[in-house]
Amino acid sequence: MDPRCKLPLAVLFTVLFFLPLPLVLLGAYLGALSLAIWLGLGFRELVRPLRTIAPLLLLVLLLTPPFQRGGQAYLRIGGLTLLSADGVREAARLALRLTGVTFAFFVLLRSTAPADLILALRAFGLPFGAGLVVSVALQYVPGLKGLFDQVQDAHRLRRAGNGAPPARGLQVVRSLLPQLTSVLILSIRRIPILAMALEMRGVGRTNRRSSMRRLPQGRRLVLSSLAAAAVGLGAVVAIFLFP
Amino acid sequence: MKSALEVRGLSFRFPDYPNLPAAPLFRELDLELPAGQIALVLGAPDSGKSTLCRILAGLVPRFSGGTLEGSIRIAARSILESRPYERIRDVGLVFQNPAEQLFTARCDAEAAFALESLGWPAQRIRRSVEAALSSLALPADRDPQTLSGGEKKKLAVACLLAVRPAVWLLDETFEELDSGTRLCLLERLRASGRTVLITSAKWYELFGGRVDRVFLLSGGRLREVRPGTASFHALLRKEGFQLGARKPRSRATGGAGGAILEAEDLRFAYPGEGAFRLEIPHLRIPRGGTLAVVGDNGSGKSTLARILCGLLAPAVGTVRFRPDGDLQVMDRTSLSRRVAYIFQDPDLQIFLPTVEEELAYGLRLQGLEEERIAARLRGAVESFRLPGLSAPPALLSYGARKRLQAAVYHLLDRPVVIFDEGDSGLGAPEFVRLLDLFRDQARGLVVITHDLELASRVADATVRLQKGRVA
Repeated sequence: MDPRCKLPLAVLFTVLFFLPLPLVLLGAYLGALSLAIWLGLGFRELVRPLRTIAPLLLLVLLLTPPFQRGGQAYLRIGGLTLLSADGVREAARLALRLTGVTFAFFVLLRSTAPADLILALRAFGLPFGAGLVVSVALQYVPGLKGLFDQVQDAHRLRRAGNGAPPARGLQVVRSLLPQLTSVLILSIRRIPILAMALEMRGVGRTNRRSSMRRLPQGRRLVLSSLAAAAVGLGAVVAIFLFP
Repeated sequence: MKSALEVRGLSFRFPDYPNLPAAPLFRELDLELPAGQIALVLGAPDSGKSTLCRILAGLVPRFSGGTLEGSIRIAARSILESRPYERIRDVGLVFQNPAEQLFTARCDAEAAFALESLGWPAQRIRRSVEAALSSLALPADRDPQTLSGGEKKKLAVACLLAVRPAVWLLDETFEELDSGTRLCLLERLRASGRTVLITSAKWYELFGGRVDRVFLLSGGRLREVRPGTASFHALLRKEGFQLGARKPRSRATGGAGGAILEAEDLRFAYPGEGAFRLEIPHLRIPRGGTLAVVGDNGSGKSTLARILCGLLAPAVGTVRFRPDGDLQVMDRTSLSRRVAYIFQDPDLQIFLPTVEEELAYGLRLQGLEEERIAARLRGAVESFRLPGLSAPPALLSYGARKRLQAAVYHLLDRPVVIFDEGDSGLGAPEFVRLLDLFRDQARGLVVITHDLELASRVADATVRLQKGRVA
């Protein structure tokens, strides 16, 4: 699907997940997004974003119920309600919301080349400067991941053989600190070099920029728009079917 | 003939930093290059080659600070009175570490970026980009971050080929390139008819007859020298741009003590990169000797190194290490304890605030007493010609950072040491000197290089890789 059509759809689903809709409808939206990921990208890709947000989901599911104590109480310790009907509902709502928004943008980002995404954003009026920031950021997220992997390797090689047993549990988190610090230092050190590279390639010029890549026009765009409109309309109509 | 590049009375010094006082880098430097000439600037590590390129590109002192005097004119315009983005048709620069200048997600987007800044029509951009990428055999749709070090350099050059500025500055671009690419690149530069200034810490024989002028950067000044004469070759050896006739100490040990590390039937492929497969039936690193690994850019040299030191797990095959007795199959963690891998890019392995902290980090983890650490650090500073224990590594020259990186692993005293393009940015004689510091009857060394002469001089055996296989 054309990124100019996927982008508004991702925004629409984000808005829908934040509306006070019935849980079953939020579940249906999430099911539709999951199906789209499964069919379009494969089952492994469905698991990837879930693994990334798993710690957050766990926190949401554990910490929400004690703060929403209305409705029937399922678990009480002393005078304190730890699990209640409202708590379960709210935890489910937040978990669906978090997973849904993650899936909506995962589909968009995973199925769209960064360059096409920038073109789509620019088609919606994003200024070049802001587009460049998004472009560099999109490049730097995987770039930072690559940098982190390399730094982790460097640390592994230098620390190996110090006789210390392998880190476990919280030690793993603590051992990440020097590596994250190294990545931060390297990233900061690269800022002026990146600024040099950008200026050497014309960032700062006042003339109108052109673009080598162009998003498709004509029949393909029309078909893509019709498909996006059908999906969007279906999602909105569903609100009235599940009041 | 009209000058494309004209430098008059250039003097420059960086600002002083804590624990790193600056000395004048250039003094009254003059340079004049007519349009269409290719000039080579030979300079030892730390002589200021990268800074000279960045000054000519208008990036220094704009981004670094410092005091600059004199005049610089490119295409008859003073570069001190305009900004780099206003001069992209006048001057282009390939950084010494090109990974730092690539910032898009596709090779074609990278090559097209400057042309898009110029506002060229899409069709014209596409033609230029396709021609530039295909001339250096680069794929249009590949993510630049996944290219090898040499391929990143080729992509940075392709960006210049697409724009074709009047003056091209290539900062040690010929290092880390295979000989075929070096020759191809030099021929393309000649065919372009543009003014090119190449800096290098090494003299490659292919420069002879292909560069119009050769300058020596030393003591903050440029001196023109005449290639092809006996005195020129004597000068190359004296200044360390070429290996001398003396056999390096390396070959004397000969690696007669059997293998210290052996790899059998290694197979590896990166997930999602179907085209590349590493297949090594047998590889032996001699104890007390040196194995050279040579091959074209992207042939799998660094991948092999990462497997040997335990950073990558082969899909099939084993790596065996012999501590004293028999060869033992090693898991990845055990290999990492025994094999030091000195990365191509020093900045990925040095990240602490001072030279002292950088050198002491591994020793402190080993639980050494502070007195012994201090003594070993003093020795390392002297042997590896480091500027001082309190100097900040981030502000050192590329060559000094490479020496610091080597010193870190020298102190760790691993039985096997792999140098990935260790000679890049250092020059062959300086690298051989560093290599000699690592030599030990009980240690095995691996030298990954594109310099076949260096390989033949320092190694007891050489393995050539071609598209992931032993050629």
